[in-house]
Amino acid sequence: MRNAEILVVTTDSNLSLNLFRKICKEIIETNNKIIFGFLPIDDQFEIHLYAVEWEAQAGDYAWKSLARKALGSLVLFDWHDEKSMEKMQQILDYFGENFELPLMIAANLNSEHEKFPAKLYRGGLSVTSASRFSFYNAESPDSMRELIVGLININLEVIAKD
Amino acid sequence: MNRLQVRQKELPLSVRIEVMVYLVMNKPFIEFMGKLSNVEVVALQKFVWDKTVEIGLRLKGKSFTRKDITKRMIPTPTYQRQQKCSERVYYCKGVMCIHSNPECARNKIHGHLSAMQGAVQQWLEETEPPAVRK
Repeated sequence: MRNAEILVVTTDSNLSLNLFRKICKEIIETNNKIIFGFLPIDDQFEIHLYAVEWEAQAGDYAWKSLARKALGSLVLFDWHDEKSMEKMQQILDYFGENFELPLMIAANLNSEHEKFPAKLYRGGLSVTSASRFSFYNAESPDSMRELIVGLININLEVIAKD
Repeated sequence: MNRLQVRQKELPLSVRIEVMVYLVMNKPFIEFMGKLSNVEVVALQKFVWDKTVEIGLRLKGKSFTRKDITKRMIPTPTYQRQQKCSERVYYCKGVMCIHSNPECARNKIHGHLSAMQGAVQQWLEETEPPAVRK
């Protein structure tokens, strides 16, 4: 079985747990605030998702080892929650300083998802050469899968540029 | 810092995301600009321009032109007259005046940012959101 790894970093563990419950076939919750999710693509290939709730005091004990092999990271936050926004900015500052990792940064809009036309954000608006910004609906599995597709596309674009 | 360095300055990733929120949510940029240095304000203008063009292309497709944005901006000669500025027209750019007359440059940039926000909001209003997939 081949696999690809994606790191999911959230400002609130409910965001990642919700994502895993919507799209993963199997979930393992650990007592050290890491959640594993397995998303089979076919009988030969599986995407492994690792969710880590952001904690500044966690240092880089987990981040470096997780980030080294990952395709990239989904950074999820709540669009209307200012505290979530602030935490997301801490995450991005930390990642920006420490890793060169493709990032799909996504704001959860829940039911307000339909307020914006999908062509505004589908695939993500480019923020840097290896990061994009998108919206998603935490109630919609399709919307979450689109974030993963977006992250894979960033990888393909980075390869094409090299 | 010379003009080239001012032009090349880029905003940190976290600030870029905050700017996206301001642009899409139509939050006034004036207070946000107050938190930024002069050089960052120039980088802000460039980033918002790039994102406005990207959003314009996404929402308007082939019918998008730069003029959809620039027609909302005060023409430079008019702005200069309003400011009673006697410099040559091509001097009236953020990268030129941001050090010598930051207040005026910031004022002009703020006008441009508002124009770009206005364009984005208009496109969003004109674009019918599709049915949401569950």
